[in-house]
This record gives sequence, structure tokens and C-alpha cells, in this order.
Amino acid sequence: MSEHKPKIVALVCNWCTYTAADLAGTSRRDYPSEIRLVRLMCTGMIDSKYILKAFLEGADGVFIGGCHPGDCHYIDGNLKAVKRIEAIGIMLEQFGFEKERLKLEWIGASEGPEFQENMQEFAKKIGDMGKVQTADRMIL
Amino acid sequence: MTTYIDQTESYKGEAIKKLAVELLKNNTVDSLFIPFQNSYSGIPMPSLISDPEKTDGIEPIAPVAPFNSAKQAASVIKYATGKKTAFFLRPCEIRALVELVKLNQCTLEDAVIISYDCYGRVENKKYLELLSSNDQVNKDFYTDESLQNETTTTCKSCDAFTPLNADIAISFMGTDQSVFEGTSEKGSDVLSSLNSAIGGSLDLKSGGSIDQSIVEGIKEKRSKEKETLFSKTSETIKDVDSFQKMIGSCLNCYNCRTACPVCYCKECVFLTDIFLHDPDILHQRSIKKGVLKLPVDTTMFHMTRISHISHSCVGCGQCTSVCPSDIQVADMFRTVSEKTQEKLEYKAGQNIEQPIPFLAYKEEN
Repeated sequence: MSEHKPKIVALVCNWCTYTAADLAGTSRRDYPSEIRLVRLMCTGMIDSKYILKAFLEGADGVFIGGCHPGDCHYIDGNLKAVKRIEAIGIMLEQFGFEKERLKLEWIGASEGPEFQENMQEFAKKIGDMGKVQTADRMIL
Repeated sequence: MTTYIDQTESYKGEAIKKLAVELLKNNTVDSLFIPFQNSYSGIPMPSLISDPEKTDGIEPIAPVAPFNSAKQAASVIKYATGKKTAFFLRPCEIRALVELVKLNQCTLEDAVIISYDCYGRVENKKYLELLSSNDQVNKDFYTDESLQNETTTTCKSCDAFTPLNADIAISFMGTDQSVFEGTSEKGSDVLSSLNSAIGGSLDLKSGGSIDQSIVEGIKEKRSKEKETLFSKTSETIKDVDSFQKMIGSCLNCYNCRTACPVCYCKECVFLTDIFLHDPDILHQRSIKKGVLKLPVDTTMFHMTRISHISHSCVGCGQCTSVCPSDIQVADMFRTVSEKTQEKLEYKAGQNIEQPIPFLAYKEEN
């Protein structure tokens, strides 16, 4: 049996974390191929359905990366995200998803190395956790 | 705090009806928002009444609620019109209205909210059935325990049945009379001005006391029911597999969303093109898992709705009542919401000053 290769969706903000990913790229700092980056304009626009869709489609983890508090391009979008992500986490836990599968992290535009570290760390943790419960299941 | 008692009527509904009619007659308010038995519907429907001569059909405490009327109440007070309206609402309807105020859907400026100790409601179908064999069911419900046992699962396990955030609270649990209490400045003013305006027909006297131990007893019993229900439901939704067994027969009619008083979006995302899939997408999804159940996105719908409104869920149980597939939607909403609200340190409909948690963000580290 081949080893389970996790699928991770990373929802990242255009201004900070995506730019950090760009910086990591130009600095030749590679990150695990399990991670699929989705660029959004702001973490404040993340609706719970994006996260739910990812998990129900069998994503093993969802990573959300935004600007440090105070650095948001839209003033406070990232702060709006904090409570929402927290609430979704509380809800997912009740449906049997381990809370470690959803992670919110601030990564600034200049933090290429931090981006790489975060991605490696998250991919390793999700890999160790094994398959998500929705992986091979029919979803109604 | 002003309390008055009404001793003239043994049926509490009659006392509330008299209060309503007098409010209108004496121009204390311009209109009433109250359940009204018209000549067409078998169930008293929330109605906006402005003519004191046309108040005969008022049925303020019939043990039925065709829907949670908070949304309809909000449509009357969407913005301040200067027309003072007395809203006769159940405690769960007030909670929903409070949430709608916080969501900027209406303003309470012109509203006087009047509520009462809620014994619960029976399902609409059950009510019509009871009514066909007993035309005094509205009255008998309050004295006959076997009728009270017919209330919904949600009502039986609801421990928030006393009026909160009302301007006038009417108590009849733990007292032989109807005790009217002005619980806000607005409510006290309305009661005292009404009391001085009328003499006779509404026998309002100062005083009145409530035996709190009886209220507490009912609360304890219902809390216990709630605990049992929640622990059972937690088990039912413990993972996606079990959860899907629960919602397996859902037909995506979205009745639960329509009935929900706090699901307030004018255009729900589930009715937009995002969830109108092209055949290509359907085939693609079918190939991925081998089988694709239609209609699609049922689990997605329920989980999205829970995540969108679990902080505002007031536990009125209407979602279960309208489900054509008999899915216990409310049990799962109440169970998830209780935990979510507890962790977010928020209680839906409790404190009108406290902003909804998603808007209460601070720069914290």
C-alpha cells in the first residue's frame, strides 16, 4: 500500500502570505508539494463555506495565512478572520474533525523563510495525522 | 419596577387580550402585532392590528406558532416610522428579534415588546387536529397536562421560557393571577399610563407576587430534558458519517432556512449560481467518488448554515417543524450552537448591548 500523501489547501492573502510565498520561491526555498495555494484578496473574505468545501472534498488540512495584525491592506480584515476561523474550528470539532487540521497563521510579505517553515511544519503534522474522515467517503 | 395584577379572568389569554385591546383603544400604541384568528386560517396568524373594533380574533397565547414571527416583526420595524407598535411575542421570538436588531435588520425605537411565560407550542398539524376535537384547546392547554405533553421536543427541552428583553413581562407560572410587570422604563411607562387612562374594564391593581420556586422547578425539569437531548445529539453528529445518517433523507428544500428567524440574507448563497452546477461538474464529481447523490451539496448546505448562524441560533425549533423529511434539524443546531456560543462567550438574544462575536474584534496578541 502506498503511503498516504496528504492534500492541504492553503488560503492565503494576496498582500502578505502570497507575497511571502513569492519571496520564498525567488529565494529558492521550496515547500511541500502537498500544499495547494489559493490566493485571496484578504483573509477577511474567507467564508466558512470555503473551509467546509475543502474538508468535505477530502482535504486533510486547511491552512490560512494572512497579514500580521495592524498590517492588513484593508485595515482590519485579518482581525475579522480571527473570530470566524475560531468559530468554524469549534464547529468542525463537534463534527469529529481534529482541530489541528485547521490553522491560522500570520506571515508577513517579507517572511519568505517563515513561509517555508510554516508549510513544512504544517505538512508534516497533517501527514502524521493520517487521512481525514471524509477522504474515501461518499459525501451527500 | 411596576407590577400589576389582573384578577378578573381565570384564563390568562383573556387578560392579555384585554391588555392588548386597551392599549389600542387608549391610543397608548398605534398598532398591535399579535396572533389573530382570521376567518380563513385555522391557526392564529401574527397580524398587525390598528382598529380597536376589529380585535375579536386576538388569540395571544394559543399553544401554536405557525412560524417564528421575529422576521415578520422585523419587517414592521425595519426603520423608525413613528408608529408605536406593541409586539406580543414568545421569548424565543424576542431572542430572534434581538439578534436581528444586532444584524441591523430592524430598530426597536417604536416597539413595545410584551411577552409571557411560555408553556411551549404544539406542531401546526397537531394543533389543527386538537382543535377539531376541542374548540376550547387554547384555554384547556393551560390547565390540562396531557395537552402540554404534546408540545414539540424543542419546547419540552427549552429552559429559556421566561421573557427576557421584554418591556412588559406577563407571568402566570407560579401565580394564580396574571402579573404584568414593566421590565424596562418604556414598559413601566406604558403600564402606568394605561392604568391611569382606564378605569374598570381591565382590573389592574398594584402588587402581585410570583412563586419563583415553581418557575425554578419547571426550569430544572426542562434543563434536564435538554441535557439528555444534547448528549444524545452530540453522539448522532460525532462524525461526518453519523451526521450524514441523520440528514440522509434531506431533499434540499431549504425549508429550514426559510423558517429560520436569524437566517436573514436576502439572497442565500445556496440559491445563487455557485451551487447551480453545470452537467460537466456533476459528471466530474460522480467520477471522483463513483457515486454522486442528487441533489448535491446536502452536507455542505447544513454545515454551512450551522457555521453561518450557530452564534445566533435562538433554539426556537422551527427548522424541525417545517422539515418534510422529519429530520431533527433543531436538535443538531441547538447542540452545536450551545457549545459554539459558550466558547465565544456569547448568548444569542440575551444582551442587546453585546455585539455579535464576529464584529467584536480587537487587535489582540
